[in-house]
Amino acid sequence: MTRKFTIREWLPAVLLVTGSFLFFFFFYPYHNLFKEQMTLFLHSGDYFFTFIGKPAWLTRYIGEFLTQFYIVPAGGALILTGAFLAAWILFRSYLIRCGLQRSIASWIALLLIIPEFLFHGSLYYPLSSTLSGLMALGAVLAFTGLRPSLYKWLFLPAAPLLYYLTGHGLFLFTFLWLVYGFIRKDGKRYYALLLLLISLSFPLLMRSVFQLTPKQAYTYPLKAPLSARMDFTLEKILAMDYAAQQGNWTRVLFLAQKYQLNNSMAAYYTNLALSQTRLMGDWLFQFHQPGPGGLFLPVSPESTSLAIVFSNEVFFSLGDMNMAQHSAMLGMIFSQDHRSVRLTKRLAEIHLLTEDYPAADKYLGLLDKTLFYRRWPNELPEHITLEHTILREKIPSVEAIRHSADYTTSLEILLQSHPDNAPALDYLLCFHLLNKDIPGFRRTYDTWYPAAKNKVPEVYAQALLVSLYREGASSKIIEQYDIPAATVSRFIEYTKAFEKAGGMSAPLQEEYGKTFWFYYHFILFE
Amino acid sequence: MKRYRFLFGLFIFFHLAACNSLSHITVTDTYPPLYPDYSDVTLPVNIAPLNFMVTGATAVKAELLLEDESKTFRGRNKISIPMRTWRRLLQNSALLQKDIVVSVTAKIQGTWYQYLPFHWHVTTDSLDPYVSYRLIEPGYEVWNTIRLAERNVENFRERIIADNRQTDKRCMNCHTYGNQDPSLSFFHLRGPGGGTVLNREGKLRKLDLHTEELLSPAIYGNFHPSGRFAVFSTNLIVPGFHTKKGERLEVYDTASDLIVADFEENVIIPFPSDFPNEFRTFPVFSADGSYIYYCNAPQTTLPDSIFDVRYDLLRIRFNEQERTWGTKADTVFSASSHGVSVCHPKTSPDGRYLLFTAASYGTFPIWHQETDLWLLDLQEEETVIIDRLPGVNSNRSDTYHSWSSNSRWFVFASKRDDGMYGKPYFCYLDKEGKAHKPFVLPQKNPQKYRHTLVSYNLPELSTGKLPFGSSDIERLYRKTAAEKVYLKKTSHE
Repeated sequence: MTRKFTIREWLPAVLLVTGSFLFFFFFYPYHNLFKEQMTLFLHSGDYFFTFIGKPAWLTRYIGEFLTQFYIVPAGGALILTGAFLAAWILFRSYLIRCGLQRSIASWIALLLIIPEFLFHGSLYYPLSSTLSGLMALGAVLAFTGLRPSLYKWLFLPAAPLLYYLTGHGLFLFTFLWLVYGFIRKDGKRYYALLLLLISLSFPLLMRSVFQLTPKQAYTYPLKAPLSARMDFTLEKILAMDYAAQQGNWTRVLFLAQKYQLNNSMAAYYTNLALSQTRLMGDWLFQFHQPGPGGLFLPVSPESTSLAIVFSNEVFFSLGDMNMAQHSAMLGMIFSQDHRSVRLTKRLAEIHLLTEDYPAADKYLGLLDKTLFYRRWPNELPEHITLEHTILREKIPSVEAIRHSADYTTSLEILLQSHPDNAPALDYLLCFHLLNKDIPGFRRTYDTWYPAAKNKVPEVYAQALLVSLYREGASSKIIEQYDIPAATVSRFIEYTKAFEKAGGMSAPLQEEYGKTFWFYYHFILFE
Repeated sequence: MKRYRFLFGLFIFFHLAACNSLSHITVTDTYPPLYPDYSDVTLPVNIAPLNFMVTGATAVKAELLLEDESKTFRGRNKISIPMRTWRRLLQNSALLQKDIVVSVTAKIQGTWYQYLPFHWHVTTDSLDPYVSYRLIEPGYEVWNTIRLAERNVENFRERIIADNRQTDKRCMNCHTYGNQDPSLSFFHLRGPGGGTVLNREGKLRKLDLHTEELLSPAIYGNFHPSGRFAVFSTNLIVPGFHTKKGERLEVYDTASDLIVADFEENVIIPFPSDFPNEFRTFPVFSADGSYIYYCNAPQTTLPDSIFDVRYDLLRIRFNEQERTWGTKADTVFSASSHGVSVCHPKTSPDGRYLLFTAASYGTFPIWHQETDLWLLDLQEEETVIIDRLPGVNSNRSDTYHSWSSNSRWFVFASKRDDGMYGKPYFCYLDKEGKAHKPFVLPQKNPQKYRHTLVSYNLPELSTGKLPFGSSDIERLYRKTAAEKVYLKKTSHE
């Protein structure tokens, strides 16, 4: 006769499944979507063999295989929910075997899953780590069915094997094994202590074989410090990044307006969207501007890996393919697994645009070995759209050598090669503005800004007025710039208000907080 | 009944196989689309099997014919040759002095093609059995993971000899041997806790080859044949990026000079100060140790004049007993007058040749597509005889070369595949000085090169296995303080 499950036993599972799925599907999908972009799982034999030289090879391999399916929000939500449910079932079974009541075991198992759930809020927590725990739980459960003598002695061969297959899963296995043995009152304590020592020292003994540091030896397959925190700010940035990946610039602006983030990465995508929609000259100060760091994300040893991954986007959209290639390559190198499908695609695109076909073939060949991107190379002629043709035309023809962080030279070279590269001009003008470099802005404006423009964008008009005011320009010269009369009167009002405020920003914030003048006087670079 | 079913199944299988058999073969007058390109190459008798793929194939058959002996191998899209069969084949080929003829038949898009056969010429001039290289992702000015590896070229075994994940991700420069001897080598480990790791006479040491008077710590270097000395350049290196498409990284020196390090007395012997202020870099000792060859260019403002900077090949005496430099330098090859810039000169162990990289300008040829290897015959004192090695070079960067101990082989890093990732190629130089078509280091699975995202930097050959591993380097990094060196006051003869 089968036993009926009570609602108290099942309720934790129902809560776990619905809660986890809804959370990762509706409230937190972009972390998982980004994780998928940062893997490059190849369906080939030699790729499989790259795993077996390190501990946790099995869970890493399966973990990476499954992470491919994070390509859609439901994929990530389903897989994580499935993993949590499996962990709950295994924990519950273990607790029942340890003698707990079924309903209590169900709730305790749920509590034990919560940290794992929270760990998945981190961008750097891999699925393989959860799988390591699952395998350890499965192994302990298999052990609990053994007779006492086997339970004791099979630990010795099982522990190294488990370490090789699951990495840190060994410690969960050892802990649960000891607890169960203690409850069953199996064997002598010194023997349990000995096995504990073996388990703890094994990674250290093996680390030279696997070429790992002591910390890595104990934490594999984890590659970043644990964080049990949901980062909703990052989730919002990733949402903007995802929209930018789709080329949906109006959505990026919508999200920027909605979230109002005071963050350089959010500003970076906002500015990119403003540039792509040709609104930069009008709307720049409608959004938070942290300084020039909101235009370009610096790539240096101090940069975060996320900033490095994102950094190529602006160069790519401006047509600076050499810097885009450099940044994309660094993004790949500094990503957790040193390979990323998103950056592989970007590198393929860059090399196709620069007509470096052998290099493009290298990256297309890699994509050809993936499950979801193998058709992308075949569909590429369709992807080489008008947008790409325009991009190809923007690639500089002027030769010079610049430092990677010398954005002014990079932008000037783009303009020298193609004076009609409007996004590059916007970026150069705004770079000077955000640096509060009025002479640089004026010089750029006078050299490159098309005279026949219908209307001077509001932000540029505000900056021009500052420049003209500083040089004491005559009204005749001011007229030549065709600055809207409303902007001129507002500038006069601002000047009076500024003098009245006596250096305080608060009285000006509401009326002028979104002007270049306010930025110029009061905003400090981040 | 079961038996009949089995026989019927067999009948169907063979029937289908026959439909798909080699009876309908299209004979082509082209070579097979091999990857890697191993057609018509000269091989050392001790090389690992040349496993290869046929691009786009779904079935491959390769027949290796040596006189009357024939071996046939089949695969889905690649051919893997068993080690024992391969060894016997190479030995017989060398013994009989006959080429191995390789006939490839491949099924591509449903059609079988019979390609032109190609030859493998086997020479008894062996290749040094080990090659070391740096595995690095081409990240230009910043790095993340760097490993130094040693590969046995007679089989497929690769061993990591240093891994920067065990040394707090410090930058590691390439590994350099002296006399192709595994018990004499060095590499630089940069940053705090680093130093020049010296492997000499079975002992690992860490030296801080830097003093206040020097431009920088030791950079490009080469051992004296005695192993007691090594010559290095000191450079103020600046990386920059090209703006034009097709060009990538440019690295230039705003200042550079030479030093000799004495490893027995921990003394630095600087380049004589009465020479004009010029750029001097990439020093190497001559085979007998009596000269130092180096690259020299007049100082100029950089990066503005980078496209005009061309390094000539010079040499200066070195007195081992007195530990002094010569008083004058001779121009061995005026590269600037040929419109090229010399980098990475390497003398052959027998003293006959000097192999160098020729780039159109500058001092960082690895990202210059036009970079080629040129061979200088040092036997001719009066006239400069240069072999531009047309059968060796490609239309992508070919550089970072080193010699085999018997001077019959050299290995170099070439980006000929994709322009991005360097791979080690071996080239045979016969007794007449003729360079043969090079071939890439064989891999058990030839697809490895297609999937790798690392470059094989500065491959160097060695006669044996190195006596240390990555754990030794980690220990040295963490537990040993770098030995200090002192500057010798007078460095002249």
